[in-house]
Amino acid sequence: MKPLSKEASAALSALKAADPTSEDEARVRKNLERALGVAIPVVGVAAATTAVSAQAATTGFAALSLGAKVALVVVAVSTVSVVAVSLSSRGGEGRGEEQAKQAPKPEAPVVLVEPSEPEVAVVPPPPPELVAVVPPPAKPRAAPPKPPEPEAPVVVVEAPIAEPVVTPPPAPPTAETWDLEVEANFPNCDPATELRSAQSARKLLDADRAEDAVWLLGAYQRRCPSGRWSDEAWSVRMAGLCKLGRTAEVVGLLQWFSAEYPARRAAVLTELRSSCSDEVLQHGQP
Amino acid sequence: MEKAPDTADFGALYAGHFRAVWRTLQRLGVHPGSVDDAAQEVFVTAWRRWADFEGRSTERTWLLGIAIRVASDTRRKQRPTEPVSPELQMTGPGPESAAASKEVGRRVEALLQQLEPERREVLLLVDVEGYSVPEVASATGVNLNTLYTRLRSARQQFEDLVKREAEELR
Repeated sequence: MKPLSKEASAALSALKAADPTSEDEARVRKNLERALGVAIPVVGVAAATTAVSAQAATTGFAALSLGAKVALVVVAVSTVSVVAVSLSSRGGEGRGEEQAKQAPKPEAPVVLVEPSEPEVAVVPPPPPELVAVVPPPAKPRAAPPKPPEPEAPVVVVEAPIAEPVVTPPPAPPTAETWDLEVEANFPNCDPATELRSAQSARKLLDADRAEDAVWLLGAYQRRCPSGRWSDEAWSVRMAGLCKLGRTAEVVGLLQWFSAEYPARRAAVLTELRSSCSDEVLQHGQP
Repeated sequence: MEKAPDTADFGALYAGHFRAVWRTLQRLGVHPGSVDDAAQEVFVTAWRRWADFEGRSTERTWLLGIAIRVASDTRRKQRPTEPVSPELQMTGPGPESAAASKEVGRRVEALLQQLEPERREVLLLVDVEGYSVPEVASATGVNLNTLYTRLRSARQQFEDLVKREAEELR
């Protein structure tokens, strides 16, 4: 299928992200509670740190690697700022402008170049394993009962930086957590950032965390819907779906991918052979 | 009587998906003044149908399906004179260009309104909100190939409209 042209993509990316505010969320929650006659526990909304709370609680912060500690600080700090500040208020770094700069999906594989400098500037840049140290975003259904959530995560970083103390929020990771995670660590929609996100997802996949890998790529795609999408990103996504048993989605994606990028099909199929059954790959013929 | 969901589980569902539901409703043409009610209706429906959710789709696509139906119902109830999605505006680099950006946003929205609703829907969900076509198929129950055809047509039509308006959009 022919992708959108640069002009059309830019036009669509000009549409404002209609994100709700925390007031919107609280207001609807209140009305919902009234309609249902139950109290809905507040979980996961304000805390990007939820992504790391479980690990911090079970293994102790001191047991984490330096990279993980840095990740905790980055995620927590970004929570405080990101929840309050919309993308569109960032001036020249807003989502719309980033998307407006994007080229359409290329017909041929794109040579991706590593960024020359770190993407995250709040604290020393997290290593690539940043995502890998984040505990899996448990499905909301599986979440244990949670006490009321604090208004915002409290992060105290002792000088110089060594031992930040994090008050772990009670909520489990959520889709929104992944959105915030991606926003903090993969803020741009350029090919190099996309490749980094795909590589992080690959690490999750290799660590038998297929669900996390799919969530990460999904969050990145929500952030950069008109991105280029390298073979690596497609391979990891489909491999993750195969490992999760979501074969129908893989077949659909593979059929689409094969029709859209016939020249790239062979490379992706090679990557998928270790994760997907032959039956799935055969059904994925265009 | 069906068993009600655990409130903690439902709270997690709400926290995890409220933002996407809200955004999707607006993308699908629900008037900003009606989004509160529509979002509430999505989650009330999810609460009532909790037992029906069997994990054949993800929670994301399950809620998307509900949101699409609620958006459709809400749009039908909206008065024809109500502007659709006035919140869909341009993001601009600064306040000085806000007016111009707003105007461009209106033009883009006007172009989208020229698409058939079904085409516009799949274009917005896939190319703006980042859902995959299989996800939309799962949420709507529409045949996958039909959705690909709609998306292809929508993209082509939108391309043509953008080209025609290109000078003004600049």
